[in-house]
Amino acid sequence: MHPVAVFDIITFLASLAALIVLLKGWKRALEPKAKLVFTGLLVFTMCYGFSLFVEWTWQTKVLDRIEDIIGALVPMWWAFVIYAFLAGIAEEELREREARFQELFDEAPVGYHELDTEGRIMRVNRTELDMLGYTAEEMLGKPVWEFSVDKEKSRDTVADKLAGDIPPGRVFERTLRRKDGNTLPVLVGVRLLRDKAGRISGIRSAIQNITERKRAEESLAEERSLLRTLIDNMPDNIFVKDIESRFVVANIAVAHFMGATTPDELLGKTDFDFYPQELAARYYADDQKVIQSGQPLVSREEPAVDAAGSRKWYSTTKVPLRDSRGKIVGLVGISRDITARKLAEEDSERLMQTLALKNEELESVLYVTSHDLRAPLVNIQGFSHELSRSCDLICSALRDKVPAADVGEKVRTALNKDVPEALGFIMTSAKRMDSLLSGLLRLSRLGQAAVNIEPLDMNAMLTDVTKSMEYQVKEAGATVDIESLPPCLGDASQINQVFSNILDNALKYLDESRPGVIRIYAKVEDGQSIYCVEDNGAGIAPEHQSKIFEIFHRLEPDKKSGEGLGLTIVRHILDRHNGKVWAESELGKGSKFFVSLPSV
Amino acid sequence: MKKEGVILIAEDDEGHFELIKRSLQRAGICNEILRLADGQETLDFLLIRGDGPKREPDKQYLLLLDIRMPKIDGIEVLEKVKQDPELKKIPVIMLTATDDPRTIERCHSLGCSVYIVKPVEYEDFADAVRKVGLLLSVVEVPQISRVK
Repeated sequence: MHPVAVFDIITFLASLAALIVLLKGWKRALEPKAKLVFTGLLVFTMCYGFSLFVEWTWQTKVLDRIEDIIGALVPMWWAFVIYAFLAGIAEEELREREARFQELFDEAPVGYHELDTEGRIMRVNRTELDMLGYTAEEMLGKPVWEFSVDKEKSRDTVADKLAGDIPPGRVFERTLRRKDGNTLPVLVGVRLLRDKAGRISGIRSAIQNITERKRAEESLAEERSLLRTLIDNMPDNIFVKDIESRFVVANIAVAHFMGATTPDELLGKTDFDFYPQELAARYYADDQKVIQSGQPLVSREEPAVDAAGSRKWYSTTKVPLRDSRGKIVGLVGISRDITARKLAEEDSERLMQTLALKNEELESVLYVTSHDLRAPLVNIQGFSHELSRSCDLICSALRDKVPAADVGEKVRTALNKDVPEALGFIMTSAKRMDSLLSGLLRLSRLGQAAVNIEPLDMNAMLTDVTKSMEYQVKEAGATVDIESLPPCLGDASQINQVFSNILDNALKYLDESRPGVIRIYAKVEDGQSIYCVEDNGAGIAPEHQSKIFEIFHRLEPDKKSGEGLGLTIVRHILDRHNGKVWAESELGKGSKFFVSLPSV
Repeated sequence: MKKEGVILIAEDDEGHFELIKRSLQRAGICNEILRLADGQETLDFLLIRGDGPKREPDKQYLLLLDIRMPKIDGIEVLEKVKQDPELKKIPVIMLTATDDPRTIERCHSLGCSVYIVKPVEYEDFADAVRKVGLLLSVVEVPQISRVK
């Protein structure tokens, strides 16, 4: 082939390649002027190609002149081809960079959008689309405030931004509306876009989803509010102090107590700003002890003076407050008004003292009375005997010396019957009175006797008690069964007295129509040993049951001996032991006497 | 006890005194019996002071002492008597209605010679006093020569 022909073909193919490159990167590769020139040259190339084709096919040179002209243009043409080729490579690189940027843009962890000067969305990245749930088509070209919950505000802000009124680097919190209708709290960072001339050409915004942060903030706020409400509505004084004993937190109660209107007034201040020096120094010393030792101060009862100056009592607990690294940074205090309790305690103490005094008084009255009442009794009895003796003397003198007829019938009756009978009544009554008085005396002595509490072996004690009453048991023809008994706490001699009295009663009131059986058994319940003395005796009628523990109450005063004090003494002893005694009984069947004492 | 010895009965209750005196006499005691109506009178008598009757030196005395008495009670009298270097020689028999063990204990520790509870029951009472009388008829009583 002719070298010229080869050259022509290469030129043509190169022009085709340039054409392809051109078509591919037409839009952006070349500048408008170059595009124009290039287009002209392209048209020219096509024409040249066509002429080559014609010449080659039909072997005729149709356009000689034109060919010459073209020939002159070939070097220029080559220059353009090379330019177009290089431009094509640049274009490729640019597109690659563009694609990478787009990828970055789309996959950025924050949403991005760009607005034009009208506030319309010109570009939006995938992150933002995903955030809001729209497609790009649904967002592009729309004013950005369409997607905001507060459209007005959003529009104003955009306008301000575009006017350059808002300094760069400002961030805004906005709430956007998602396509599904939900709202989305976001943080918006804004950057103004400027053209080459430096004019504002739009806005680029970075959108950060702050739902999680908001939620955390809200729950923190809720927690704080809950805590605050709780603290403020507590009737106790609650406060937090730093290591210098300055108030960091205080509730309403403590504020009011210290004479402040709101808790905030206390912050930064110390007890010295509110309390008398001495009291404040005492509190400060307590604070510092807790802070320095790390040991809490628990339920310390201390005096206080409220804002009105009235004296109060508080129970205060102070606990060291530590930071996350365990270092003590202050203390938390809770202080409860126990004035009422203290006053009640004082009252009850006073009452107890009065009671003890009264009791003592009563006992001494009882003792003195019973003692002093016995003295005249001695006289009544003694002189009754003296009288009776004198009477006998008179009688025998009369009998010996004076004839019966000389003594009047009435005088004889008086001397022989009336006077001795009257003296008999006086003496019996005096005797009875004495027995009552000695009973009272015993009872009063019981109150004066000391109670020595010790563990008691009840099996041994009841065996002893029964043994000491062996004679009465035999006399009554009764049997006494003692089961295994748990120990208890009590005064040995007094508890012995309790069971002696109960057993004595059981033996005294047996039913004569059947052999007496007395059973003693026990159980332990709620820390109490409960003993039962059960008999099959006469029993107690329901109407009498409540009276059997009364002083001097006797069921059968004529038939049975005794002062009516046995059960009174039992109850008295058990009262002093914090124990109890009660009875269950059925008339004609028997009785059960229960004694409950603290178990060991 | 010699016949010239005087039995002093410190007893505020006249009736009691009378009963004691009669019982003693029935038991064969024929010594002089003198009543002192309360603790004050008793001490005045023994310490030879005041307006009432007074103890005579070199005479033998024995004191039956009640506890509950006006002005000064028997325990205090006992205490004073036993503190005095001379008077403490006088035998003191407590004869009282009080049977409180603590009182009995106290009287013995103060130095009483005998402690007897007055029984209310007449027979018992008379019996007790009779026994005291029998006791008095055999005991020897020291002489008191001077007063401190």
